[in-house]
Amino acid sequence: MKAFAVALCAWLLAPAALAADSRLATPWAEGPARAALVHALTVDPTLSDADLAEVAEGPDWRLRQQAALVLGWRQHPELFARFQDEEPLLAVNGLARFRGEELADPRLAPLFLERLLERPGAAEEWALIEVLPRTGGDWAEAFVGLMAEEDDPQVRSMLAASLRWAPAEPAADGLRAALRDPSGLVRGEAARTVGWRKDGAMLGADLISVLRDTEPYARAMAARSLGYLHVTSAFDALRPLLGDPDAEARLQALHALERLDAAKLRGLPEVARLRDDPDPKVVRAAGALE
Amino acid sequence: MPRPPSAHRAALLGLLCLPALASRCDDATPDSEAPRDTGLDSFWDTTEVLGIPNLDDDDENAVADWEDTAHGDDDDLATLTVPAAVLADAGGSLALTLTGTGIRVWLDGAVLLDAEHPTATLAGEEARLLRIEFEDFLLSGTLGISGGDRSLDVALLSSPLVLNHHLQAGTMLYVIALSAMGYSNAAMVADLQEILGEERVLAAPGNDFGQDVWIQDEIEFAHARAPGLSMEVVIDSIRSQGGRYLDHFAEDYLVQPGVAVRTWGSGAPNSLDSFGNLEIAPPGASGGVDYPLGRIYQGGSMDLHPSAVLWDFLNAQAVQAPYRPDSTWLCVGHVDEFTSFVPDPSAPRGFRLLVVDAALAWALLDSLDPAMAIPKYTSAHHYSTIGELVSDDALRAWNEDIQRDHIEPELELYMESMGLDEGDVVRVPGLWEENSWCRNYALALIPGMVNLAVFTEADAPAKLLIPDPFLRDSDMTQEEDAFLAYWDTLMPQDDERYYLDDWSVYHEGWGEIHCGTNIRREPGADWWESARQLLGGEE
Repeated sequence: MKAFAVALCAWLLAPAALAADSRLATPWAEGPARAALVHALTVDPTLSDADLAEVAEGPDWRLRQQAALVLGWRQHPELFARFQDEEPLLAVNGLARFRGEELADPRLAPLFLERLLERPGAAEEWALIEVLPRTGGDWAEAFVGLMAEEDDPQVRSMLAASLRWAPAEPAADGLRAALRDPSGLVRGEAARTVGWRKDGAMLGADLISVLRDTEPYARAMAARSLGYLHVTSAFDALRPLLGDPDAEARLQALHALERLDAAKLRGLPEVARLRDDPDPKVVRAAGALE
Repeated sequence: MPRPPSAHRAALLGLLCLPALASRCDDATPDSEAPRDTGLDSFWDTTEVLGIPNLDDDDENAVADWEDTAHGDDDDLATLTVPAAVLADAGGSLALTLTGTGIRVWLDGAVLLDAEHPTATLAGEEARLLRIEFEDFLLSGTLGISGGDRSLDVALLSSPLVLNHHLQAGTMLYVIALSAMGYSNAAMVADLQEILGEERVLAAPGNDFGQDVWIQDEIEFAHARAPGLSMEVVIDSIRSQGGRYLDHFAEDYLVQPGVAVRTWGSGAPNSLDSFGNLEIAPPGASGGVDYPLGRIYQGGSMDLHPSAVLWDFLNAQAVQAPYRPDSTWLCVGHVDEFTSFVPDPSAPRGFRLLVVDAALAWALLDSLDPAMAIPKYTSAHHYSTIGELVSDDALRAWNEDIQRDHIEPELELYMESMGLDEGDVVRVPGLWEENSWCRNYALALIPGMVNLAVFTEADAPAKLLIPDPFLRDSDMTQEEDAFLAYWDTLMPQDDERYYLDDWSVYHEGWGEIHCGTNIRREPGADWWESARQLLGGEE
């Protein structure tokens, strides 16, 4: 273990050299051994703050995370000690959530991310995914990386949803990948999330592809987002969804087309048919166009 | 257990008091411990005895009184006095016959009649006091009495369960005190105690309940009443089970003689089983039918709904015929998130229905300084300034969809179900956010001010306990909060309005003040006086 720690210290001291070494790219064990290693590095006088800070600005999110974590324990131990074991509190619907204005602190990101990487139980895992974007810290690339490794589509969908708050580059990478995810749930969540982003139109072509998705939720969310983002070029691609077998997809297509070109929509013969739709929400929306 | 509704209705049809004989109902009351000697003829005019289910535990021996047949001296039994003159006129004895299950007739501390012993002879020279006990709600039967050349069938009926609505005076507010794990609601609890008086606020320690603060969702207060009889009934939800969280709150704090706790349903709950999703509209009328005790509303949909056991039971009570708004578009799925009824003495019906309207919120927000910081929203909602909020086109579009696809159709249902018109409705500003951790459904972005608690006073203005919206910078006061000020102008001005900080413990936990409090209330109107027609078999 000691040898391992020493090796890691050496790696941290020479990040450029070791970043290329895939054997050391993810060298940290899990569980107590990992925590012990973090502690050892935190108190290791041979590892300078400056070296850690350099690694914490590097391109690999795992290396950044590990360096930022050690640096955090050195520079604001009281803050980390307070939130290291803080539990999310029961929300009204039975889920758990971290609360408080002090969570909007980028310094907390490596600590919460570390807790997430330790794979806690599902409730805490969800709470950690939810709180990390609220810190305003460095989490987005980690989420994109974790999405690629994660087996559970529920977790992948949560990670994808969080990209609503991510910087442009990791958001585009992550959402583009999520729109092609094997899980319809994840594709739908990604399609939904794109619509919330001010720069979401850059994924307009990807969203248009999802309009033909086999998953109704994905089709509905792609339609909705294209409307929110005013991707006017999507009008013709959206039109077939007015006859979609899924009511939510029909409703979202109707709303989206109205946002893109209400006058043109009113002229479509499908609208008259939708006034007799089996779904009351679709009937209401179609009727409102009169 | 209650009979099926159809059986109830058929039986109850034959039980209704004729108005001309209504006063006879009052004779069957336990006003006096001693048998009252009434006139010979008036006894034979008796039509019915109304009672309540004996569900509580008056002798506190951990056995519900109906199950506890060792005692017949509870104060929850209806009475029927057989005058001495009646016995004498019948030659000293009367033949009694009981029909109906779940009913006992006691005499002198012993069971005289029940389902297994449906006939008996009542003999003696003195007036005799028959005490009638019911096992459950809305049970009906007949007590046949004959002697000499006279006979009588007395209808026996136990009360329905009647849930409280917001126009009934509050007596106690319950809240869970939280001070652990970095969270505290001490300031809000102190505010509540100052507003209502410490004697009317019970703050139970969160440590005893796993820091579960959602007391609204755990229990619902109701009453079972009949002339001269009253029992408070606490409906304990299936939300928490196995002694976890608030599961044992009712047993710890509420059970006592005269208060019974019952649960309807079992199995795995969903969020719709919480009682923030079970509310009662004040008295109204719909389709030519008066609902003098109000109407229950419990959210759900065809695909996702709360326990059918409770719904069926509430339906069977008939006097507060439930209606079902679709609340499944909400993250938490509770009707208290987007509507509430508040007392308003100046309103034609004495109340207003508050309903969230996003357009009002946008209109106000658009008028504010976009540079104004809203620090509370930074961590909780990712918006740091008014400008960030109003420039979020997707948020605007999504709220537009929520309003037209969900809120407006549900408002139509409320108005139809309670016979309301636009004048009875107050649209209040509010915004929703879409939450991925909550099925991507709607959560209050600005604290759900409509999700307020109503503490109605018998002889004073009602107190509205409203979440503070905190749509202001940290150095600004409530008086400088334009959103709060606008909201306040929309509230009934005869009510007292209090804006409380529920942010971190409640709002950030996806609930608000109503979710985190529960108010016990005085009983409402007498169902046997005002709502008998609703038991009459309307299909």
